[in-house]
Amino acid sequence: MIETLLIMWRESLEAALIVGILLTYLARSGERAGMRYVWAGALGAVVAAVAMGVASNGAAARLGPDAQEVLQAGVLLLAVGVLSWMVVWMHRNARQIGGDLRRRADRALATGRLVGLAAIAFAAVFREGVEAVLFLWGVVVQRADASAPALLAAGAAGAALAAATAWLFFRGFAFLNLQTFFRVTGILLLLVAAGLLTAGVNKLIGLGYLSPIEPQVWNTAWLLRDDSVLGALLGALIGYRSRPSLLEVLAFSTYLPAMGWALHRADVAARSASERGPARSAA
Amino acid sequence: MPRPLPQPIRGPVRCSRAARLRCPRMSSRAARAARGMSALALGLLLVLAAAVRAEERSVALAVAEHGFTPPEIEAAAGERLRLEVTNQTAVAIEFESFELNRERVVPPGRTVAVYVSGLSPGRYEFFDDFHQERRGALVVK
Repeated sequence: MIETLLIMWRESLEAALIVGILLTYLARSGERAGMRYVWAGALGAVVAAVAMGVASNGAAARLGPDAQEVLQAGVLLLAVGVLSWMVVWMHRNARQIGGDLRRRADRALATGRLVGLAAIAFAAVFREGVEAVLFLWGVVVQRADASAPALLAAGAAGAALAAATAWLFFRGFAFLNLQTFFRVTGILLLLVAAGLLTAGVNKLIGLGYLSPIEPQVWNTAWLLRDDSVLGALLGALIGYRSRPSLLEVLAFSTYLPAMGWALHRADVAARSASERGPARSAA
Repeated sequence: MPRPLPQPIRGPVRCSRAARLRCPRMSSRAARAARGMSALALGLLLVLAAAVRAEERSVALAVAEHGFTPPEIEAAAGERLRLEVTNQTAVAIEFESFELNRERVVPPGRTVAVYVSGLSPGRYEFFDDFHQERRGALVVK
């Protein structure tokens, strides 16, 4: 019972944290309409995860395990692309926090950028969603007796606990002023993107498509175990692993400076634009 | 005969470096360039990583109700292994190992190949994350 609850907590945590960042960001920027996109992406992913569970499990399995894993890696890498683009956009927004933020958000809505939010929510929920579906399916098949409903309830409680964990986590951000808040969430999202990229690379290594180069660069299990609460939290959020391969470390550490440079360029451009156009700062 | 006046520029204006101050879309261009460069760097890295490959050896690993068969696998240091994990139970399992940094769901009745390579001597434990009493280990000598 406790095991079912813990497994579902862990499987749902990542989705809850990433959806949590997006919702918190939208709530604080006063863009409540955009929340619909996030929820749509998350719900779409639940439907897709159930469909994939049905397609890859049971007698009528139509999808091989490898195809499923490749698809998941693809969704992860795609989400990194969308997320990177979002962070650059958010960064530009954060420079102009003022009376015109709402108008800028409206403009973003008009240009369909919030579809990007839906894509990230989709990837985050889909990734662990398939595993959660297959796990719960197993719980029901295995205990085709009176204890199945109780175990399903424990699973639901685990998912609810993950949502509560994410909520508590982002409550901690409430004391930050807006400027700091957007800076912190921006950095956090970059780390999330680097973690998703690393997870996608890890899947491709496990599939035998890529070489890890060096399977274990270091081992920080003495400091933070993967199965501890903090380890699971960091694993879900930024892809923490105690024993990463060299290729994963390289992917993570190449991504961050590349994005740092892109954000710096966005800064330079925004500064020269505001020097040039007094009309914008007056608005 | 008077020379024709220069035509006003129509359509999208390309942003040159010199025109940056007049060019509000520079930031997205810069971001695009950065994304392109990081994608290129990553692509190179991945091609490099894919090229570094060794001969592989297949090892069968079955998961039944009572656990893994065999419960212990032996391998030589540096060897490239293809672990063929077969799920013989009626429900999904998840082959997982923190030591090997691997995690794969295996639907009931299916076989999944999990690659590991270049390991140094030591004991690498794995387990079924959905039924954690099932445990085994890869011993590298």
